[in-house]
Amino acid sequence: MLVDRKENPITMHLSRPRLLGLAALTAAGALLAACGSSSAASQTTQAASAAKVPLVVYAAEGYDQAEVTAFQQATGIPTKLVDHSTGTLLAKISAERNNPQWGVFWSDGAESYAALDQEHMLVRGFEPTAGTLNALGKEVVPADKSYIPTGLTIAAAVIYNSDVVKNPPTTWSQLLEPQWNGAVGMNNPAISGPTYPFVAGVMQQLGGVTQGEQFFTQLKNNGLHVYATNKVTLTALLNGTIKLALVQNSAGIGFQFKAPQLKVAYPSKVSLLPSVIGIDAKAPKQEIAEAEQFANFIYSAKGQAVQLSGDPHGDSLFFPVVQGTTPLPQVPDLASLPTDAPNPAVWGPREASIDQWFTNNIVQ
Amino acid sequence: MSSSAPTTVAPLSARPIGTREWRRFTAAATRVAERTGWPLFWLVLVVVLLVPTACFLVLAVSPRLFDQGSAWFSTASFSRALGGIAGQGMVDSIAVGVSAAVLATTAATALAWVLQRTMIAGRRIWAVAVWAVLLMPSYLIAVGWQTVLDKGGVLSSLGFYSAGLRSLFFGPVGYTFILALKGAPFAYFAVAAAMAGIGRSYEEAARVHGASRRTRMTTTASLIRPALFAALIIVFAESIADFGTAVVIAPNAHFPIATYTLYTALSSYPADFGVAAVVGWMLVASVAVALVIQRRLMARRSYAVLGGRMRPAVPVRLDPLRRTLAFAGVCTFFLLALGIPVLGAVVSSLLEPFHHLGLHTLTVSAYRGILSSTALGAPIDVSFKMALITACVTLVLASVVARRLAAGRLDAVSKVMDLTLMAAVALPGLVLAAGYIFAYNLPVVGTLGIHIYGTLWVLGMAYLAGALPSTSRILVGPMTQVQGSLLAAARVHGASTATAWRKGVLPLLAPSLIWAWLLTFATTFLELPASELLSPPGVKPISVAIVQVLNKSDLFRGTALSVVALLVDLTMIVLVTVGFRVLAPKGWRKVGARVF
Repeated sequence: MLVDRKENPITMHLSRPRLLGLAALTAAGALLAACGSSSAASQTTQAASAAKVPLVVYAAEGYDQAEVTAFQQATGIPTKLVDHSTGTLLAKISAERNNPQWGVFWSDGAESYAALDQEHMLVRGFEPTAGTLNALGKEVVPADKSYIPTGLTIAAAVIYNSDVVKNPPTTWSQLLEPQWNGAVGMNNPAISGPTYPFVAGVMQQLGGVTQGEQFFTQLKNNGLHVYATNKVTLTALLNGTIKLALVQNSAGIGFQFKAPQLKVAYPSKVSLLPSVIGIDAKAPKQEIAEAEQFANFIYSAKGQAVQLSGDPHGDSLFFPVVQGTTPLPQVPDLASLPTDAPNPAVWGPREASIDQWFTNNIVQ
Repeated sequence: MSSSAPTTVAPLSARPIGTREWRRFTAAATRVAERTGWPLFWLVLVVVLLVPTACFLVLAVSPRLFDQGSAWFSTASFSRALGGIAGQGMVDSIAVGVSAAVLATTAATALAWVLQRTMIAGRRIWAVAVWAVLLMPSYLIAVGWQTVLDKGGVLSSLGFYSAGLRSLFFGPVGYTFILALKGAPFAYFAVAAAMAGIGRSYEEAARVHGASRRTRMTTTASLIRPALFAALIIVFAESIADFGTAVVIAPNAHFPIATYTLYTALSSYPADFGVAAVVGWMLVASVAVALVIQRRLMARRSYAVLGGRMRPAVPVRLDPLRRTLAFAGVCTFFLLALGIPVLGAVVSSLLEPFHHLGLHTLTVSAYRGILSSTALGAPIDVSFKMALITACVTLVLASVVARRLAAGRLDAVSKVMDLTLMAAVALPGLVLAAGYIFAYNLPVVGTLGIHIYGTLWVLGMAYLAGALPSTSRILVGPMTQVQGSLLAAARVHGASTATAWRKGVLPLLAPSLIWAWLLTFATTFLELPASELLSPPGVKPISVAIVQVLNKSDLFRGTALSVVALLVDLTMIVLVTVGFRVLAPKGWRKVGARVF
């Protein structure tokens, strides 16, 4: 069990009224603490005697369990995975902000990481050395190297049923045409992690937030359906409720294994969606070192092999960013696709307000 | 004699008396319990419920207290929340909550009357079916109905697809309907126990005085009024806090719901805990108003009917027409609440992914895959153990709470307790779980020597916090009906308080207590929000495993896993109910015969 793993400097800077207020609220927990503290003490003793401390990985990738298991086997570092959706993990990270419990955070979309970085919550200046980034990978590394790309997908592509749709749209603006009235579905960016980068990408291409809001409002007026996640949207596509699903391309390709009639179209332009790793800047030094070791393992040949095999019908369908790694055969040639990359430093801090706007004005 | 007073408590003086040492020990234990019991109880209530709830709600005005903003005091969260759709969402939530409560209580009262007071065929099967409805997560009920009504769904495959029906489902009507179905078991358990507890003497008295059937029904209804109010309030609170239905219906309905607003506020980065806290305040306030109304309507009346000389009512044998109508009504209820959702869930778990319904497209491969997986053993094991412990602790605490709340006029302390518990019911599990993070992950807590965050202790406390309020409310109805004279009589005959409870009251309440235990076990076993936010790293409860399968593989495998988890739950319930019938003392079984 995880106990108080970190000496947090925030404790030392608490003002007296705040300390008193918080103490008053929590003093009642002292009785139960007795039960917890004895086990905590024994674990702390054990941790002190061992060089390796538990590495806690918060992750929302299909291959995360396989990667964590392989890492632990390769290094002997006790690694504990907390595997949830990106939204749940972000809520947990937000709530734990004043005493972070994670060592590594790994999910799709760099925007949240840019926001975390602006709050000085990520280790800066670290780059794995176990592998070399290809040109694509170098494009998505931030200037301060506060997060580490591990792969790329597209958010969003247009998934369609080729039995029903013969000519899918080739630009985003074509979605506003009458022929697609009531036929388009997408995820709510406030719930689906990979959808916000798509919304941000469209807004950037159209010239800004205002123009983007106009576009999505027009899309709503043309009968846009909004669902929770990729799976739900794709299920609506397959049962005929919608004709076009705007979802992450890896989810669409994954569904093709069981529904070959599904095809993936890439309108001009689609946004690159990096999967990235961030390391907790407030973690103990030992855990930071282990987190860097974890990132290095992912960049290694073995780590790349696990990433490609851990979720072959889902997140493993990515464009590699490490030289020498070959994508799975179902993944298209990225050079042939019209891509764009919204700047996370610009669009990350806007995520909460745009998600709120989308929920208030498009979903409801 | 046996038919007239089957539950009469034998004179305590006639019972075997233990050794002197034992009596001394029990007397001393009773004294210690009486002195330390209430302070200890309040400490637990504060630690488990009050502190986490307060920590979350205070965020609405003081974000800096938990590093969620720069202001020590600010009303900006209220402006953001009320300026958006949260206000409309709250109005909608209250409207559907009230509608669902009335619908569910009406249906549950009719059901309870049929099952408890008539000789309907298959009564015990129906009683188990109520449990099955309770066990169905609202998410699964909604998904089941969706699978049936959607394009490409069951109705569509049979050629009966109706766009109008689908559109009705994805709107306020469908939302209220699902909440009423989900709320009906809560109302049933509150009402059925009360209905079973009303002896036939009251009806006989009315009949002797020439009362008509309608008058007799009115008499009965007035006696179970506490249970009816308890049912209305518990369904209302559960409905406005429900998230499972909201996440299925709200995004497509263009129908703002408070819990959906709250969820979206927490899912982006940075999560807007301020707006979520404001929504939490509004939910709590709406339940507080409902409680005040209940108190005013219940004031200055006594509803105690369960006594030592209580004679159970003889089930009525209905005439053929009424019997047919009652049977049809019960069948219809379970078809809507259980049959169709289970059909949808099972079909989606058996149907080959992305194929239309047909005999050749059904497969058990999802179940085969799940049952052959060794990865699910640990999640089921941890959830089973946590549910067992939580159910036992909750039962003890909920009994204490319910007894206090059932004691006529409430003092100020009891009113605070009542409000706190109902506030916890009205707050979605996600809020309570986040409150636990704020309360027990503070650095200052660590400096006080408290190191429970990130352990199973916090998860267990959150389970207890989630289960205690609704379990207490379920028990208030039966507790209200226990006559104080029972305990007094036992004490007069020399019994200690504990003995008086054990021998005088427990037999009468045993069925309700077992219901409450099973309710807590079942809901804890499948609890999701606290499991997601508070499970220690490396520990995965079964609900989290289900969500992961749903997120990362086909819908049918996730649904199959849900069905398996429900079967584990149902097996436990069957074991306990059969155990009660076989092992419980004869008197207990006679009282519980209408229940199990």
